[in-house]
Amino acid sequence: MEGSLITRMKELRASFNMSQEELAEKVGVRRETIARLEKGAYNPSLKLAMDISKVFEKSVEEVFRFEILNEVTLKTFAEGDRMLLNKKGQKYADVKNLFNDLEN
Amino acid sequence: MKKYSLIVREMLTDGIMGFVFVVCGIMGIFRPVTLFSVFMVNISLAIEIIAIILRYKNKFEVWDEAARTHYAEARKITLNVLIVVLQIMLIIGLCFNFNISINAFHIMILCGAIQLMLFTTFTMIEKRDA
Repeated sequence: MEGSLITRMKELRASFNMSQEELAEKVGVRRETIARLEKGAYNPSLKLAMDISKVFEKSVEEVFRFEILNEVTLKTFAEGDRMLLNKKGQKYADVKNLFNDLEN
Repeated sequence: MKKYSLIVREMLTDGIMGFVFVVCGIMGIFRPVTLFSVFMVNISLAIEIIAIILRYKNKFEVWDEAARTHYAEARKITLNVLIVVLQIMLIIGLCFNFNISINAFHIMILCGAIQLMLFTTFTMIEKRDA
């Protein structure tokens, strides 16, 4: 099952008028860890997720959400990759032209 | 109160010590400079002790779960590299039937290289996700 963790931490932190440093101190981690969590670059342990949710007075599900990529999406991505890899030159040029057109 | 980062702590322990060990080890192999090596190793040991005291006085950032995960990843990479290097050395030794004699400086280089690699890998992983 592939997916990614989506968090509302940044938005909730702003509503609580709290800095990353303050939140980090409250839950006993480093500021960098909070930054990583907000960027979705790190998956927290259940304890940390619960501690953060407690600070924001919300349930874990309200703060963190795990978005599962369904099979259709994965197949579409895989198909796109395959097409790009098979006809690399032509397709790559087509995509590049498309982006160039969009930019102009 | 401003706290020192974990990378600074690692530099004061594994980083400096690893560097001193490697340099002294290489110098010692070509021209034994035992007194100089002992002097340098003692200095790096003193720095490490200072870092440990500072750690107990909470002058460094906390070891949170992200840091532990990154350190575990760094140790895994270091261990894998070490195993591969030792296996290559073993194969070379077996194939060519080498009679290998090692002295303290060889051990010093190996020890220093492990510490230095651990520090470098940890720093790179920390910077990668930052």
